[in-house]
Amino acid sequence: MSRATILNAVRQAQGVSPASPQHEARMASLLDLPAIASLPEFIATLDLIGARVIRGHTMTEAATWLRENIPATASIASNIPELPGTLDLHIIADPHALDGIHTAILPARFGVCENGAVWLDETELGPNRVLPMIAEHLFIVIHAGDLVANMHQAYQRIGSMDTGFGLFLAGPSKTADIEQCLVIGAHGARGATVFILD
Amino acid sequence: MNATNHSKAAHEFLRDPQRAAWHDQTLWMVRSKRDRMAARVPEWEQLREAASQIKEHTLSQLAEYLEQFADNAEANGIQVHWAADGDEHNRIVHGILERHGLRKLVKSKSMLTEECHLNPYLQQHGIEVIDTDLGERIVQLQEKPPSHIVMPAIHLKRAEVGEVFHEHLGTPAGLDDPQQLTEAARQHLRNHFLTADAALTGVNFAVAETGGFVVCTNEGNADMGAHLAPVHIACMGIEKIIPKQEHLGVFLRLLARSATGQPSTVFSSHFLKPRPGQEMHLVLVDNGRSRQLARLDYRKSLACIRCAACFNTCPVYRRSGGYSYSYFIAGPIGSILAPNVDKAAHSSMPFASTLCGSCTSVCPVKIDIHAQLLKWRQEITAAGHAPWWKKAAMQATAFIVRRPFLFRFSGWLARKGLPLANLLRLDPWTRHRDLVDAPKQTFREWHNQQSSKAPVSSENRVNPVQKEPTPTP
Amino acid sequence: MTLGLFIPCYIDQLYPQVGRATFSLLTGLGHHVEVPERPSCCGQPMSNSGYAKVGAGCIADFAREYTRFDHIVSPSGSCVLHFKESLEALHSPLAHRVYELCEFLHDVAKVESLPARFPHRVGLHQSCHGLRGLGLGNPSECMVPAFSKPTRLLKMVAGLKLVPLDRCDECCGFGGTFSVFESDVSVSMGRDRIRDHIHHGAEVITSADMSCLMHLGGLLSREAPQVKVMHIAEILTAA
Repeated sequence: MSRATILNAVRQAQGVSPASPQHEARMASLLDLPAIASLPEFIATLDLIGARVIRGHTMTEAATWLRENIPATASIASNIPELPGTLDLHIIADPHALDGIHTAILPARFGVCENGAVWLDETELGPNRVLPMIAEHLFIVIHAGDLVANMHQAYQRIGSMDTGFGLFLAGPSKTADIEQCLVIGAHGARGATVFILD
Repeated sequence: MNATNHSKAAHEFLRDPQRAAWHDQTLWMVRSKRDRMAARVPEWEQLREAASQIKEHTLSQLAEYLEQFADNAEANGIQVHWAADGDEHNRIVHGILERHGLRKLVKSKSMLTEECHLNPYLQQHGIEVIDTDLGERIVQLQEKPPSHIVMPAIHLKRAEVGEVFHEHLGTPAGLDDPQQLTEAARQHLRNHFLTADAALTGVNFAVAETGGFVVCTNEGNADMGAHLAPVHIACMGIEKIIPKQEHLGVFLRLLARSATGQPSTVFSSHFLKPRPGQEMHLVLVDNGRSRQLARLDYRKSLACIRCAACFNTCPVYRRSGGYSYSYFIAGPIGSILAPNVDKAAHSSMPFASTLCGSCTSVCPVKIDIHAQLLKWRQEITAAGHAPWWKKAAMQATAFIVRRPFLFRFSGWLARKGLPLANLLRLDPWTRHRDLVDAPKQTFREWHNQQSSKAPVSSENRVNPVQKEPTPTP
Repeated sequence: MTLGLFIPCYIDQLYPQVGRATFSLLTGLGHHVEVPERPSCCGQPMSNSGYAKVGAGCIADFAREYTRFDHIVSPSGSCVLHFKESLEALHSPLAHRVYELCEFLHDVAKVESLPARFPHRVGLHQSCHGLRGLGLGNPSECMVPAFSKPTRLLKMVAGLKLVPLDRCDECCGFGGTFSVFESDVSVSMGRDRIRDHIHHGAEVITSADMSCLMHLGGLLSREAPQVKVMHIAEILTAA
C-alpha cells in the first residue's frame, strides 16, 4: 500500500530528530507579546479590505438599515432570529438553491483586529457552509466587545473546533489577477457590511 | 514545460523591453505591498523565525505527523488516500470520480495538480475540468500553464484577457476593463459551480493535531466548489503538514502579507469534517518530496508555503517571466525544487540568478534559497550537466591565478586586448557595456614601486589620489 | 595595527586606483599595511560557476598567506563574503578576521571623521554581497531598524550629497558569470539601476564592490557617460 511505502520513505529520509523542539519556546514568546484588541483598528482594517462598517446600539437599528438599503424584492437568508430573512434556511435541503440570494445575514463569533476577519463556524453558519460565498452581499453582525487583537488570540478563542467547518471571513471577495487591478466581487460576495453592535 | 534554457527564453522575453518593464513594475508593486504590510507587524521577523522553526521541526518528524494527521482526518470522516507519485495521484482522483460516474470537476488553485498533470489526464478520460481561480481559468482557456503560482495570468495585459474572454465567454470584442471581465468570469464560473459533480481543492495547511486542513482564497472559488458539490477532493503534498492548530496563527499572519500584501486572504476556510451527505477525500502526495527530504542541504525547501514572495522580489524572474523557466514552478523556489526532480532538464534554473539573496530575505519561512541555488550549481556541474568548456575555463583560471607570474602575464595580455574588445563589441559583455581602458600600472606594480622606495608608515603615507572625480568608464 | 590587504584580481588589473585609495586610506589611519603576493583571486568565480572544488586552492593559498594577520581588509564585499563563507565551512578562525573595507572602518577602526571632500551628488549602490551577505546595512526586505555602514562613512565626506533611490537595494545584475551567460537580464537590471540613479540626479555611483561598478560603469560609458562610477574608497580619500 502506498501509505506504508510513503511513510517508510519519509522515515528513512527524515533521519534522527533534533533533541528539543525549539519552536515551542518561539511560539510561547510570540503568544506572550502584548497585543490589545482595538475597535478603531478593527474598523480601519475593515475599511482597508473593502467592507462597509455600520455601528449601532440595537438590532432594531440593524433592521432599519437593512430595510432602507436592500431592495424590497431581494431574497434574504438570515441566521439571526432578530433579523428575519425572506426564506427559511432550515428547510433548504440543497445548497444549490441558495444561488440568487441577495443578502446573507450572519452573526460573527468574534473579529480579528489585525486583518478585519470575523470567525464563523457551523454554529453561526448553520448547515449551509456555502452561504457566505454564494450570496451576493453579506451583512455580518458582531458585538464590539467580541474582538481579539491577532490570529494567535483568535486560535486561543476558537480552542478546539467543535463543528465540521469554520472560516475566517475578511471582507467581500476580490481578485487582482488581471494586471494587478483590484476588483471587489469575484466568486464570493460582491460586498460586505459589518454591523458593529456597541 | 519543455526543457527550456533560461537564458535563451529570457532573451525572447526581453525582445519587448517595454513589456518586460511593465512585467517587472507590476511584480515589484506586489513586493512593495508586501513590504508595507510587513512593516506594520512589529514582530514580523519573530514570526518568520517561528514559522521557520515549526517547519524545520515538522520536517524532521514528518512521518509521525503524517500518521497523526491521517488518523485524525479519517476519524473525522475524511477518506485519506496516499499517492507515491503523480501518476498514482491522477489515478486516485480519477478513480473517485469514476466510482460515482462523475463527469464534471471544478478545481480551485492547486499547484500540486499542475505538478501531476492532472487536467490532461482527466480530460483524456472524458472528465470536464474547469479551473475556477480567475487567473487559472484565463490560462486554461489559452491552453497554457500558469506563469506565477499565486497570480497565474500576471504576464497578460487586460486586452489579452479580453481577447480570451471574447473568444471563449462571448464578451464583447475590445472589452478590457478588469471589473467587467471579472464580472463575466463570475457569471460563467457561477454556472459551473452550480452544475459541477465534484470539486477539487488544494490545501494550504494540514493540521496533524486535528486532522483538519485550511484552504485560503480571495475569490471564494474553493468554497463555492467544495460546499456545493457532493464530492470534495483535497490534494496536498506531504510537506503541507503543521503540528498544531495554534501554529496556523503564525502561518496565516505571514501568508497573505507575503503573497499579495494583504493582512489576510478573504477566505481562510477550515475543513474538519465533510458536510452531512458529502464525501470528502484527501490525497496525500509524495512525488519526490521524500527524496528532497533526504537531501539535508535542500530539505528546508520543503518548508515552502507557496506565497511566491520570492518570485515578486527576484530581479531575474521579474525580467524574464515564468515561462522562461523549465519547471512548472518558476522563480527562486522553483529553482531549488526542480533539480531534485530532474537535474538535466532543469540545469539552467539555479544559474538564472545573481545570488543576490533577496529571496532568502523575503521568504516567510526563511528558506536559504540563494545558498541552496549555489549548492545545486555544484551538483549540476558534478553530474556533468554543464558545457565541457566551462570546467576547462575554470580550471585554467584557477591554474593561472594561483601563480603570480602567470597571473601577471595573463592580466597583461588581457589588458592589451581591451581596446579591440571594446571596438568589436562582439562578446556578450561588450555588446552592451564598455570595458575600462587599460590602466598604466597594476596595483601590484604600483605597490612594489612604493615598497622599494620607502617603508610606508603614518609619517610618509601616500596622499589621497583624487582631486576630482576620476572617470572610471 | 598591521593589516593584511587583499586586492582582488580585477582591481589589481583594471582598477588599481581603488587599491591605491584603499592602501592610502588604511595607512592614513596609521596602520601598517602589507599585501602578500598571493592569492590573486579569491576563487569566487569558480565557486559561483559550480566548481567550488576548483577554486578551493585559492582559499588554501589565502589561509596560508594571510594567517599571520590579526585583521585582513579588502575593498571587495564579494571577495570578503566568499572568504568568510569558505573559511567558516573549513572551521577556520581566520573567517572572523577578514573584513570588507567599510566593515573594518566602521566596526574595528571606528572611524568618526575623515578629511575627505567630495562636493558632488552621489548614489550609493548597495551591493548584495555587502548588504545581505556581510550585513553592511539593513536589507529593505527585512523589518529591522535602518542602518548603513557605507552611508555613515559617506556622510563624513564634506560636501557630499547622497541621493535617494526608488529601489535602494535591488541587485545590479552583475552576478559574476551571470553577466555573460544571462547577459540580456544582466543588462536589463543594470540599466534599471543606472536609470534610478540618474533619475535622482546622481553624478557619481559608488559602492563597496567594484564588480558591480564595472558592470554599471560599462553601461554608463555606453549610455550616459556623464555619470561616473567610483569605489567608495576613492571617495573616502578624495580631497
